[in-house]
Amino acid sequence: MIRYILFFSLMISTGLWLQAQITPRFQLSPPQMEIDSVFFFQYAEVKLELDYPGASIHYTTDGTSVDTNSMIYDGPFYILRSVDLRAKAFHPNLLNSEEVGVSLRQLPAQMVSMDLQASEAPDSRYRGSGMKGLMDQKKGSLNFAGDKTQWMGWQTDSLNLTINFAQATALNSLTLSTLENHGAWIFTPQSVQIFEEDRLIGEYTYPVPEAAKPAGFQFLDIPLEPGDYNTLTVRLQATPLPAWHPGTDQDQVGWIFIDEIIPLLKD
Amino acid sequence: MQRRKFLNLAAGSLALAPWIDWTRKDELIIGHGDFRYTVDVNWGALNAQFYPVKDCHEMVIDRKGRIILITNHVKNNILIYDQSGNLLDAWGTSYPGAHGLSLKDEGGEEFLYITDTSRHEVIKTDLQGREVLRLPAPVETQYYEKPEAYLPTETAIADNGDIYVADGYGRQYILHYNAKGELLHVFGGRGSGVENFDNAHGICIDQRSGKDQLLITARQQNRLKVFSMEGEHQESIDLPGAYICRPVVHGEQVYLATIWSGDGSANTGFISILDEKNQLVSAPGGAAPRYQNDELQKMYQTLQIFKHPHDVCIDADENIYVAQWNAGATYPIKLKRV
Repeated sequence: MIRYILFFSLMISTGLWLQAQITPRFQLSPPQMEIDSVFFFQYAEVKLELDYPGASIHYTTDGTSVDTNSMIYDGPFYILRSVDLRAKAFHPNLLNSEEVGVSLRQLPAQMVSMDLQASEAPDSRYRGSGMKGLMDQKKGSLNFAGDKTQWMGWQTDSLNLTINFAQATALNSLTLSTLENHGAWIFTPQSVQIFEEDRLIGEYTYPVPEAAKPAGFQFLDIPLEPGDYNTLTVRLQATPLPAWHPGTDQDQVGWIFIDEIIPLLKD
Repeated sequence: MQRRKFLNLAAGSLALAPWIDWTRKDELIIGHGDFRYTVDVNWGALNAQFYPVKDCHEMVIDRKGRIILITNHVKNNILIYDQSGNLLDAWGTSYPGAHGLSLKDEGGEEFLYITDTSRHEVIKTDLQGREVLRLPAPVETQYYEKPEAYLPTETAIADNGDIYVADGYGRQYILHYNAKGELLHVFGGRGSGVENFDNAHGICIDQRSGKDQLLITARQQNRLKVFSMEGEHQESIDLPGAYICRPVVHGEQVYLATIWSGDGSANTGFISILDEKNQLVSAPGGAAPRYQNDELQKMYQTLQIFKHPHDVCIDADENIYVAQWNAGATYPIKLKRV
C-alpha cells in the first residue's frame, strides 16, 4: 500500500517537475486601452482588448486593484465623470497580465480662455502643435515619437510657462498632463511651482523614482491658493537622471514632456 | 526502500508521465494561420561566465546551417551555434558597438559584414573573423562632418558585390558602395517624404519578384519601404503598431523581429511574418493580424514571450531563431514550426 502511495506521489511530482521544466508559464500582456478622449466634457468611450483565445479582461473604475471579482469587460462602455480606470487580463493556463491604468478627466463645460508662452522653444523634434496644442483638451499617446501633434518636449534644467488670462479668472487648481518614459529619458518634473508675480501660490514635488517604471501618463494636480488671477508663471524643474539610469554618467536631466495645461476652478 | 526498487519506481513514473500527458496538454503554440510555432526559450542558453552576451543584436545562417550570432559583449562578439543550440565557435573582441550582421556567399567563400555603432564603421570579415575590408565613416562627403554622426545599423550585399549600408541610428542615409568600398550613391536621409526615414534600422535585398529590390525598415514609422537598387522609392507598406527591425526574406515570406508594439512601451515585442503580397499573416507573440479595407489594424503584443526581439534567422525547416536587445542578457530563443 505504502509502495503504491509512494509510487503515485513520485509519479505526480515527476509529472509536475517535467511540466515545470518543459513548459514555462508565460504571462499575458496587459489589455489594450482605447479611450476616445481622456479629457472629456460629457462622456468618454472606453474599449479594452486583448486578442488572445480564452483570455478575459476585468476592470475597476475607482482606482482599486483588479482581480477576477472585478467587473468583467464585455464590450465598450461610457464614462460620465472623472475616474481612475484600471484593467488586467486573466487566462486559466497563463500568468495574469500586469495591471494597466489611466485617469479620465471630466472638464467643466466652459474652459478658461488664456494665452500661453514658454521661456524657451521645445526641441525641434517635439514641437507638438505649438503652445495652442497644450490647451486643446487632446491627450497625446504613449507613442510620443509617432504622435507628432500633441506632445511638446524640452531637455532643459528648468522651464517657465507664462499664462495670461483674457480677464481676471477665478482659480483654485492647475493640472499639468505629462509623460513618463524612463527608457526614452522622459521623466516627470521633480518640482512645479506656480507664481503670481513673485508670490508662490501653488507647489508640487515629485520624488525621484527609485527604479525604472513602465511608460505612462501623469496628471500633476496642483492646488492653488484660491483667487482671481490675470497672469501666472509655472516653473518646472527637470529631474536629474537617477543613479540607476544608463544616462547618468553624462550628467544630464530627464526630458520634460507636456501635452496639456488646465487651470480650473474646482467645486 | 532499497535503492534498486527506488530506481524502478522512478523509471516507471518517468515512463508514465507522458502517458498522463501533463506536459503536452498546455504546450504553448504561438502564431497564426500556416505559421505557428512552439517556443524553446532555452535554445541558445550558455554559461554566461564563459560565453557572456549583452544585447543579442543579429543572427545569420551559413551554408552549413550554422547560426551565427552577434553581440556587443567584447569577450566574444560572435557566437556560432548548431541548430540544436550547441556552441561551435566563438570569436571577436574588438566590436564594442557590434550591431548589424549580414552574410554573403561570394563565389565559394562566405563573408560577414559587421556594423559597429561605437566604431562608426562597417567591417567585412571571413567566417573565422579575419578582417578583409573596412568601410570607415564617410566623413569626406557632404553628409557627415564627423564620424560620431554616423551610426550604421545594417548592411545588405548585392550579387555584384555592392554594399548598401543603413545609417539607422545616425543621419538616416542609405550609402551605396561597390565591392571595393568606393561610395557610389547616397539616398534616404531624415525627413517626412516617402523617400526619407525615421530609424532606417534594417535593410535587405528582396529577389522574390525576379528582380532585385531593397527592403528598408523605417522602424519608428512602423513602415517597410521598397526601393530600387538605384535608390528610387517604389512602395511603402504600413504595419501600424509594429516597430520592425530588419527584414529577412526566406522563401515567399518576409520575417521581421518587432522590437516594440502598440504604443511603443518597453517589453512589448513580437515577430512579424509577411506573405508574398507583403501582408502580415502571422504575429507570434502578438495579436492575430486583421485587415479592414486593406489596412492593417494596429498591432500589439498579447503574450510576454519576448521582451525586445531585434532580429530573426530562419533555417531550412522554417524554424525561427530570435535574438533580443535589452532582454536581461538572455540568449536566443527558438520557435519550432508546427
